[in-house]
Amino acid sequence: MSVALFAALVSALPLTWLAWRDPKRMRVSGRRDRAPLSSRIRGLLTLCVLVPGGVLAFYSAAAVLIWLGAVTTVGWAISEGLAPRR
Amino acid sequence: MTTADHITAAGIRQRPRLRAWTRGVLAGPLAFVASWILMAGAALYLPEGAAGIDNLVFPVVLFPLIWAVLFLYALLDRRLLRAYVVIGLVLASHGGLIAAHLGSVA
Amino acid sequence: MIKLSQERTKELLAIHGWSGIILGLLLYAVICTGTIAVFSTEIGDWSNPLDGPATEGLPPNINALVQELGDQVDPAYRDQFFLYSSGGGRLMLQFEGHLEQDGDDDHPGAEEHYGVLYEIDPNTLTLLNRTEGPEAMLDAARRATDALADFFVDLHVRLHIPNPWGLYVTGVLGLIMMVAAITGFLVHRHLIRELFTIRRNKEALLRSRDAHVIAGTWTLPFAFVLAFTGSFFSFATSLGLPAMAMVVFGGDQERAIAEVFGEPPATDETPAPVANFDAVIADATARTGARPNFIAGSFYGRADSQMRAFTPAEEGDLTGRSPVYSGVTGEFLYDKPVLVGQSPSAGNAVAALMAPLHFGNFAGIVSKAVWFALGFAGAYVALTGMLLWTNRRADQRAWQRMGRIVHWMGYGLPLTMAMTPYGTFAGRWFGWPLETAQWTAFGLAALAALIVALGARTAARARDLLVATTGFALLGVPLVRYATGGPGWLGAWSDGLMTVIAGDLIMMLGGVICLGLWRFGAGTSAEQAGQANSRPGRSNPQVTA
Repeated sequence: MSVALFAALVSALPLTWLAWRDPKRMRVSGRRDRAPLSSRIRGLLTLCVLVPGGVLAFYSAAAVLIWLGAVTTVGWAISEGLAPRR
Repeated sequence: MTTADHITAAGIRQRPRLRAWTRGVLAGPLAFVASWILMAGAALYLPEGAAGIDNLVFPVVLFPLIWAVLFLYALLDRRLLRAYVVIGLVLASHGGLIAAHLGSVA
Repeated sequence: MIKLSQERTKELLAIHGWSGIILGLLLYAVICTGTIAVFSTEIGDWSNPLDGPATEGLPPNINALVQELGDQVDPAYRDQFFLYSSGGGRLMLQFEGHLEQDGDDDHPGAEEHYGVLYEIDPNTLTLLNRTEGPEAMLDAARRATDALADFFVDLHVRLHIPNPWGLYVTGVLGLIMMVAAITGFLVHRHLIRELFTIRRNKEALLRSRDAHVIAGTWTLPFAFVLAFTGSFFSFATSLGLPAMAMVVFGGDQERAIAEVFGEPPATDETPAPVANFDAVIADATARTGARPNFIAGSFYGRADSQMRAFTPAEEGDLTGRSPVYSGVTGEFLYDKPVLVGQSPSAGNAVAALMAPLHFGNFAGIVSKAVWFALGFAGAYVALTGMLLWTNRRADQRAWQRMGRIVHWMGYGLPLTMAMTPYGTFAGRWFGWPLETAQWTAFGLAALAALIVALGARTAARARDLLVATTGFALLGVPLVRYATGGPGWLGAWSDGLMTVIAGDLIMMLGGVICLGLWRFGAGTSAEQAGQANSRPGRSNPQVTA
């Protein structure tokens, strides 16, 4: 089942990028040095997040469950980690 | 207001505290009992399936979802009387099924 | 996400909040202990190891000893037999039958379950303990071999409240958690838009709100699944099966169990030899791809004896299998559905999914780690929700008090859980009854936490004290384990007891994290602004996040 964790790691990369350039997060952080991602790019990145899970669906339901659990907790951790502080 | 007024639907509508309690009873113990009766009664009409046990297993597995639906419905239907009628129908229909079955078996 | 009217949103938010705060304290306890219980096997191996490592599945070369011990059991108590592992990999061999109580013509005696439990060291194949008595005595003996894990599992499953009431309570808590997940989803208008936004740079209430909402959003699907499956487990045997027995089987619970679980009826009491357990285990391993971890059998030593070998899920699967064998010849008879029925069915397929979805034990340490993380997130959501609710009402005296109680449970429960092993190890070292020792440690820690939570000048100070104490408690656990006769790291390494070393390291890591949070955790904006967060009753509101 380490393939599921590897897939979650692969998903974590576009997920981090999505979080980093998220429009609302950037607005709240007061980040004006970069423009937030366009909705088209965000859609593509979202697809990149989901593709490893889709590939795992051909492997096993157990792997998909592990991937989903790992990605959701990583997503939460990324949100906490990138939260603007005082 | 007289006691009779309190008990009528109009009476309950005019007393928010009583209305809240009435709804609480419906969403709490009544919805729970209705879910339990629905679960038990459903075993009498659901198909048995290949191993002859699906009608027993599915209602037990779905019990939490049945309760959630009845609970949320009891809280969110604006018309309290209608909510009582609906949950009452669930209780009466499945309770009646159970009673009829137990009566025929006895 | 879902457009609802403002009034409807307010109603759903009220349901969400009130259902959460009324039972949230108990729900938090169930979630926390459930998170720990994911690793109950590892906790058992860490806290009560033998001189060799626990094996994956039932150990090899056990047939001779098992048959020797089985032959010593009174045939009256051989209606059922079980072979399974307990703490430290101990092999447990259990026989059960019925013992008729004394009675008279007017009041016939009742039948109670009675039997024998053997505790075996699988490394040396020596008998460690033998217990004979009623079912309750056998249960107590089994629990003693896995006392610490059992404590947390029991706290999770029924809050240590006797059956069926404990199951009703935890079942209701599961239902409430499900409703909270559903209503939380419905009221959150901008689920996707706010997915990555936690405003830690804003005022405390906004921070609290974001902390709760974002954690809840990310873990929503699993929160629903864990609540649903948890509720199923609590209600299935306490409410579901009795209902089916009453309605479909005229109140005959034993017949209902036999029908649903497909128990083989007694047919031939002629004495017969017993099948080779090693051969059955080997066949089941070859047939299913996984080594059995549990054998359940009926009518040991009789011609109608059968045994069923339960195997864990193979890699990629969610559920294991349970082939059935003749208890006389060891011949494979058929593949029985792992949970219900005598043949494959949709009902079994659905019901069998409840266990892997809830326990997360279908893929070894990988799935357990993920489920642990999800459980941790669930506890975080529950705690931040209660803190948000009480913080929003911090200008009211009653809710200020409730806020302190939330701090007591939220930060005190991890402390009590960290202190429980002290009771386990001290009890074993001094020969005290383990349950009493564990409850004493747990209870004293809970009392100390209550004093801190209620007596500290501010809620934030209470939190910091409790988190720091938890950190020190966790750091001390490996030392106490070693000081009370547990293996040191060198001895554990040479004996292959990797779980002992790993468990100690995880305790120490947890301790370091807690101390780091205490030392470097961000204070609230209210504290930094120098607002006097006073004890409940004063005019200034206390706000923590």
